[in-house]
Amino acid sequence: MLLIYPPANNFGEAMAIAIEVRNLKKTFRTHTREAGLLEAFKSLLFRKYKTVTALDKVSFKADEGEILGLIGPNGAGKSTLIKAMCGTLFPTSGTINCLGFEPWRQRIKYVKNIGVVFGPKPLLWWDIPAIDTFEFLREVYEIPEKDFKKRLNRMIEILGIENVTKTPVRDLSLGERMKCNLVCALLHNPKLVFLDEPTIGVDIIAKERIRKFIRDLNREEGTTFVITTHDMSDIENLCKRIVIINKGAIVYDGLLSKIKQKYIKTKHLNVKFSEPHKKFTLNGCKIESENEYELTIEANLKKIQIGDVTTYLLKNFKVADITITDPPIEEVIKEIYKK
Amino acid sequence: MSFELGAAKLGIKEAAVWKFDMLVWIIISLVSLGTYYLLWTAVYGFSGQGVIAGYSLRELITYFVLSEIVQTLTWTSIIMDLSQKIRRGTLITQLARPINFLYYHFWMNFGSRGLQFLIYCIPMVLIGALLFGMKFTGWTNLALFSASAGLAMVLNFALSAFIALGAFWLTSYHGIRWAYMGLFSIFSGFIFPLTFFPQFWQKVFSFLPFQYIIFVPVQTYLGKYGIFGALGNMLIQIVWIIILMTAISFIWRRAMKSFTAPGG
Repeated sequence: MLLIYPPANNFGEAMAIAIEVRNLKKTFRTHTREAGLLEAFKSLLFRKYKTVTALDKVSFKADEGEILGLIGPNGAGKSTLIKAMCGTLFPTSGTINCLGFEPWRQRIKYVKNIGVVFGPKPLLWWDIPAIDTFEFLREVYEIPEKDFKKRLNRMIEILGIENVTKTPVRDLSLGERMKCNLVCALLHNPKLVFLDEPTIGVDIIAKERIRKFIRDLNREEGTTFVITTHDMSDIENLCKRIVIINKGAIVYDGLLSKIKQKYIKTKHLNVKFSEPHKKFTLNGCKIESENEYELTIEANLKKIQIGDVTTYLLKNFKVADITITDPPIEEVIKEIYKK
Repeated sequence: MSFELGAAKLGIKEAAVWKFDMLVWIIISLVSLGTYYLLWTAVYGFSGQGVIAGYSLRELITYFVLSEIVQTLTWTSIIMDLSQKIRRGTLITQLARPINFLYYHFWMNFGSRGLQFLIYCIPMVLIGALLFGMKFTGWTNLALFSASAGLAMVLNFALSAFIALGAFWLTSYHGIRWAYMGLFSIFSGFIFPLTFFPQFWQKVFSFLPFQYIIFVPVQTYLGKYGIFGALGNMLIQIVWIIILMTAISFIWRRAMKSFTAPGG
C-alpha cells in the first residue's frame, strides 16, 4: 500500500490542502436576441441558443490558512468558480475537493464548514432586522449560545453595526447590508470562507476594519479565505497569492509581489494645485490630462521612482493634494493576456 | 426541534411586519363572507328548496367560513418564493447553508400560518357563528377536522412545491402560478362544494390531490363522511404526501444539476 503525504511547506510541517480544483469545466446554454420589439416577438417563436463556456480546464490549489485572491474582469468566471466550490453548482466536468468533500455531492455536510458572501446578494431576511437572521443562523449551525454571543458582539463592535442590526434589512444601505452579510458568513466560525466582492459599497473606514478582521481571523483561527474583488487595495492588503482568471481560464497563479514586479510598470499620479501651476516636465513622466489646477501623470517605473516624482512636485509646485494609483487590475490582466 | 422552531419564528416575524395588510385581509374576507351570505340566501329563497346539492343554507355558510380558514391555514408562498429565487439567482444563498430549502420553507410557512390563523380566523369564526348562523357540529368532528386540516397543510405544501419546481426550467413563472391558482380554487372546492359538480367530474376530482386540501377537511367538519370515512380520507392524504415528496426529491436532485444561479 502506498501512502501519499501532503507536501511539506518550508517549515517542514505538513500543510493540509483546503481546496483542490482539477480540470474544472462548466458550460451552460443561454438564448440571445437582438434589440428591438420585432426581435422580441421573433424570439418568442424561434429562439437562438448559444453555449457559453464559463470555466475551462481550471486547476489550482489553496493551502489551509491561506488568503487567496481570485481576480479577473467582469464575466471572467470568478463567481461561477466560487459557486462550484460552494457546492451550489454542478460542473460539466472536472473535480473539486474542498476540506475533503466533493462540494456538490455532499452539499449539506460540506457547507456546515464554510462561510460565503455572494457580493450584493442578500444573505438576510429582507423585511426583518438582521439580528433575527443571526438568531436563525445560530439554530442552523447549532452554535452554542456562549460562542454565538461572543462572536456576534465582537463583529458588531469591529464593524460598528450596533444599531444597524436592529433595523429592518430593507431600510439599510448597501454598505450596511454588506457588513451584515459578512456577519452571516462568519458567525459559525467556518474553516473555509468564500468572499465574492465582500467590500462592494462599503466605505473606506469599514473596508479597513473588514480587512483587519479577516487578517485577525486568519491568524487566530487559521481560517482559509478565497476572496474575489475589483478593489486592488483589498488584494494588496490581504493576499500573498493570487489567481487571475479571464474568459474562464486561469492566466496567472502565483505571488502578488511577483505579478507587480512583472506587470505593473506604471503608476498614475493625480495632482491638485493650490494655484495655477506652471509647466511640468520630468523625464519618465507622461502627462495624461491637465488644467490650471490639476494634472494627471503616468510615471514609467522603469525610468523613474515614484518618490522622485513626488519630491520633484513638492519642491517645485504649490501642491494641495496628490493621489497615486496603480493601473486598474483589468489593465494588468490585459498585459498578461497579451502574452 | 430547534431548527424548526427557529424557522417558524422567522415566519412569524416576517408575517408580523405587515400590519396594514392583515387588517385589509380581515376586512375583505368579512365583506366576502357577507356577500356570500346574501347571495346564497337569495338563491335558496328563489329556489324554494331547503337543501341544494345536499346542503342547507346554514351548512353552506359553515362551508364557506371553514374553506376560508383551511385556505388560510394551508396557503404557502413557495411557488412565488422559489421561482423568484431561481430567476434572480438568490437561491444559492440558501443552498450555501446546511439546510434543506424546502424543509426550511415548510416550517417558516408554518410559523406565518399560525400567526395568520390567530389574527384572521378567530374574528371570522366569531362573526360567522354570531351573525350568519355557522354550525357547530360536535367535538368529534372538530377533532377529525383538525387532523385532516393539519394533513392538508402538509399536502398543499408538497403539491405547491412540486409545481414550483417547474421554475427551474421555465424562467418566468407568473403565468403558471396564476393558472395553478385559478385551477386550484375550483378543483379544491374553495369557491363552492364539489358536490355541485356533475357526478363525472366529482369522480375525476377524487383521483386528484386538490380536493383533499380544502373540500375534504371541510366536509369532515360537516360530518359528511363519518369517523371511518374521515380516517380513510386521511390515509389518502398521507399517500398523496408520500407520492409528491418522492417526486420532489427526485426532481430536486435533477434541478440542482442544471441550476446555474445567474447574475453575479
